Amino acid sequence: MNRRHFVTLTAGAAIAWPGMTRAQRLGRVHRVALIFTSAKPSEMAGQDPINPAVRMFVHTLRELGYVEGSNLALERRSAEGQYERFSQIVRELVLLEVDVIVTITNAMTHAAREATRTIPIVMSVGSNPVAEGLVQSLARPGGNITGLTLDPGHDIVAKRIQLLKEIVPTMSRLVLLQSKAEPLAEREEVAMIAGQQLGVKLLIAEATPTDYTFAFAFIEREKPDGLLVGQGAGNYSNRATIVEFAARNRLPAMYAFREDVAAGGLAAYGVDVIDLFRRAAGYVDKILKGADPAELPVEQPTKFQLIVNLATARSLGLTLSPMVLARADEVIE
Amino acid sequence: MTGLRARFETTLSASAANAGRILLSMQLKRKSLVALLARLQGSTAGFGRALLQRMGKTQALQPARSLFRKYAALLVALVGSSLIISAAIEMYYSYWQNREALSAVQREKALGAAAVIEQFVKEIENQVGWAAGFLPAGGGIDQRRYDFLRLLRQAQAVTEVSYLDPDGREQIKVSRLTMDTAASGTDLSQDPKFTQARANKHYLSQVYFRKESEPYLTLATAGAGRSAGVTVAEVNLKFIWDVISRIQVGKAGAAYVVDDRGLLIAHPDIGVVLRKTDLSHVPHVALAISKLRDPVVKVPAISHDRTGREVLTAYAPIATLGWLVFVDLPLTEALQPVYAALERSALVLAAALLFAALVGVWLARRLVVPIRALATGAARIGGGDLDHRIDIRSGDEVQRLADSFNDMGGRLKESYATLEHKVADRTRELSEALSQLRALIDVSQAINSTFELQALLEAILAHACRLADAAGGAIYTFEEGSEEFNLAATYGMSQELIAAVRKAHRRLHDDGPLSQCVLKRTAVEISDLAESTHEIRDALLKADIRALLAVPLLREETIVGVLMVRRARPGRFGSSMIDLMQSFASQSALAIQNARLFQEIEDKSRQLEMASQHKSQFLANMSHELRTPLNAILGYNELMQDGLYGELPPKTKEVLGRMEKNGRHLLGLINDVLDLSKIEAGQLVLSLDNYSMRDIVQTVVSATESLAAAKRLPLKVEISDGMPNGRGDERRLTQVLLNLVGNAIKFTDEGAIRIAAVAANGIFAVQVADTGPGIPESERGRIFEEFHQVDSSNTKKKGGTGLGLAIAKRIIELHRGRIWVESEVGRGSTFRFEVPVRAEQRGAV
Repeated sequence: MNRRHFVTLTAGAAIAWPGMTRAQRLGRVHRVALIFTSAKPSEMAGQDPINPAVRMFVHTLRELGYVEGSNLALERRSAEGQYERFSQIVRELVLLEVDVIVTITNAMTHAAREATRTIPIVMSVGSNPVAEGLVQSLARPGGNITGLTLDPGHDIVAKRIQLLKEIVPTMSRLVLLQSKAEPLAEREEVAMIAGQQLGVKLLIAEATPTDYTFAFAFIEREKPDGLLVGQGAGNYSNRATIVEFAARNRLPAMYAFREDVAAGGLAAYGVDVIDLFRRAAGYVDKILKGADPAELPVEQPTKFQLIVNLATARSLGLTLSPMVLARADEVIE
Repeated sequence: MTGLRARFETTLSASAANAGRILLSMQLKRKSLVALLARLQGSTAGFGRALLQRMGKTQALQPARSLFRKYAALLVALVGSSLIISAAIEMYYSYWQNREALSAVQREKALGAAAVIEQFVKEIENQVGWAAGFLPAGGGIDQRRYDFLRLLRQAQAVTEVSYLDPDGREQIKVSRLTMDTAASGTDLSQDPKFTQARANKHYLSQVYFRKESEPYLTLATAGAGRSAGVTVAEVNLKFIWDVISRIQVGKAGAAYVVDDRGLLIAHPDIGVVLRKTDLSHVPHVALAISKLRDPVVKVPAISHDRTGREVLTAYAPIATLGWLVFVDLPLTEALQPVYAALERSALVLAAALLFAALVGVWLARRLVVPIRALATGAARIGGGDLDHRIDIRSGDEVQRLADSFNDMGGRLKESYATLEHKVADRTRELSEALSQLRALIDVSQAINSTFELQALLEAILAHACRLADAAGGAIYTFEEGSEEFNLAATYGMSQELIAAVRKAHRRLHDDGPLSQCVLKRTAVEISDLAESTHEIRDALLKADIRALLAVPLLREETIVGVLMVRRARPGRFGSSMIDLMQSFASQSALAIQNARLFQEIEDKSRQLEMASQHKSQFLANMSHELRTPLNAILGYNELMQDGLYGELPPKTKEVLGRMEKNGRHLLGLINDVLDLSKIEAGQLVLSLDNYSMRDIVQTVVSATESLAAAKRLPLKVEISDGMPNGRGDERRLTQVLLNLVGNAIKFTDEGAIRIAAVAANGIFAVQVADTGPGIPESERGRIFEEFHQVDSSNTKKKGGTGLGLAIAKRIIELHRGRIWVESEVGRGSTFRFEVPVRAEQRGAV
């Protein structure tokens, strides 16, 4: 009698054990916050968000074992273009006691940093974090902020300018379309120096993430022969608008994202931003598993790709030199 | 006369009782022996059983299952231990082998990874070389730029590539991240990437970290010819991550690359690399690095990684780069298969042990069952069940043992049966002897309890006949003088037979068994009357008597009679029976003799008594006759002295006085003689009454005062105070004391007389001490005899009858007291007597 009971007990325990441990893991709900600058909340929502970045993030999280509704609570927020709202959003999230906050732009990261020095913050698309004081060093961020950068420094702007100059050798006036909310004075400086070296006069056009009318008006007034679109989140969200504007004004434009070129932009030199979100999810996973953000080094991108849209080039009446073509990693017809 | 008889009877019975007691004790001793044998007979088996049961009990105390457990344990231990040993050895070897195999596999992986990485770098080098070599020296810048752009396209890892002219000046730089430069003119002629490339054709820098985070490698190739410049490429080693991350090292293992300083170059977790991790402290890394310089160094296969986990590690050096590729596998994971194998072995071992246990138990049971059967069977046989047979048919030594037990049981049974028989026989003999003894004792007692000869002889005869298993018997007395046999007692004889025997008038020399018996002084038997020529044969036969035994009654060589027992069946009586009859015969002889003797005594006593009676009578008469005239004489004398018959001259008075004295003396003598005869006849009776010892002493003192004064002897009296009242014959006691004091005065010439009386412990102790001549020792006892006086010239002169002390002694003794003398010749004597304060009449002495 005793033996039978014992066997049943051990067998039952053996079967139930993994379930028990899983339940333990399931039991804990991880709260992750994702803040977008301009995305529409509707585009962020759901298991398959329309927004590709969000989708990539959510899917990656799922691949890593985080299922919404069981062990993951994903707080999706969007400032919807109003950068002032960052502080408020972050404060809300801090009160909700989220485990991780995933930010996009540096402005957002700054706001998050103001709100909390303890909750880990993952910059999915950061820029120059050391210079901005967001981290102590790339190898050891030292605080609660870590994540990825979009570029290895301001020099990328110079590179973009040089590339655009190669595409449009006759370019002499270049407009840099920036976001007001994202102060990039140093970048502008680098751009200006590069422009000088290349013999290109640099103009700055500032837009708000929601309103480009002033910027466009400025550009139309100034009539440059080249457009450099900054790599801010606002420009990314409004790429359709910008591409259409550039096309309308027959402006050769250099973008930061492939999506721009896919949307009709002339050329882009940058990294796969969607991939950054995949890697951001990886960071979130590490942090949720207990990694200290102070010890997680900031990753810089490695693969920069030049994407060129031949159709747009043709429509602009540009012939791309062999150098450019040699350099181009992807050519869209 | 009756007293004498009584005395005789009592002494005889006392001695007989003693004899009887001795015989009885003997009988008891024999009885206990018989009882013991009876007990033995009654329960031979029981005794043995009890003994064996005790033995069996000690066995039962031990656990009856110990053998089974021993066997079972032994078997299980044997099998179990061999299983365990073999399993242990196997597991040990399997562990080692697995580890070795794993290490080998890992080393292969490391080598593979090293090769791949080397290839990766070499590939880039080649590509750079192509970009460098394609161009003839001094070719157009544009061409070079084009080539560089293509290089960038092809080699994703290259972030920058630049060309230095033969003087070491940078001519062109194409970058992914920064602006291309052309003809910057930067002088790098001293830079090792230029100098070494020029010298060795190739240059590979140490890994450096851009922004302290990204690992880079500078690669420089010199073009062919002296006029060729140097192409320098900056390689982003993050691209090695692609290679390294593809290397699968178990589930939790990792392959990583370190340079010769221990800096981590590539790791599946890029973050670790970007942290510019220094692994030079990791033991196996450090050892591997030192082994690059010193091949003797041994790098352990098991070590701890940077997180402190125990890992199984293998490595492969990339000689060209000076890098090391490590493949670490967590030891637990590595040994997983080993542990799985161990688990398997353990399970198998457990199952095998279980099986061994079961088999062991079963075997033990099989071994133990026959042994247990043996044990229980032996216990049963030992317990007394001698019919029990142990049934074992195993065909081995155990069965043989069982058979011997059964044998033993059978033999025990036989010997018990024999023993029982023997004991029964002995007991029967003993009880016979006992009953015989008893009969003898009864007879002895009977003999000694009565002097009725007739009854006695009949009792003896009855016992004898009973023991002799005789129908009847007779005792004849034999008169030596008349040579006649008289029928003294009969038993079991019909009147007819008695008449016949009486009529036969047996005499000596009449050839009958009686005569023969007497003449031969031994037992005579006739085993079959039919064949004998007995005188009264017919009469006996008619009385169903076929055999008879005649035994002489001997008493100190005198035949006093014959004991005869008669049986109804023919046959010899047996020597033991004859002996028994002879003892009865001697008892009978004793009885007869006793009776005769006693008869004599009785007669003599009667005569004596009659004589004594005559004597007393005579004395009483005579004394009266004697005293009467004497009293007259004395009376008249007194009267004459008083002058009743006229005044007498003094001389006459003197003479009369002397006559009175003599007369009184004679009277005293007569009184004494009378007293003594009375005492001797036992007729002196004390008249008991209360008296005062003090008074007695006073009386005596006053009676003897004058006598003592006459001899000028002081008479000291010491009577203690508080003397109790005595009970006794006052007159007689006074007489005694008077006699003693008189004697003291009489025999003492000078000194003093002392009379003392004390009472203690219910006894009056009186003493009369004088300072006379003393009494020698030889006389001290005899002075109390009649008519005895100490024979010396001194005393003879004093006179006296010599009866006084004798009478005093009798009187004291009648009071149940005692009287004696202490004396020292020349000093004096002290006569003492003690009487109980309350005396009772003593029986006739």
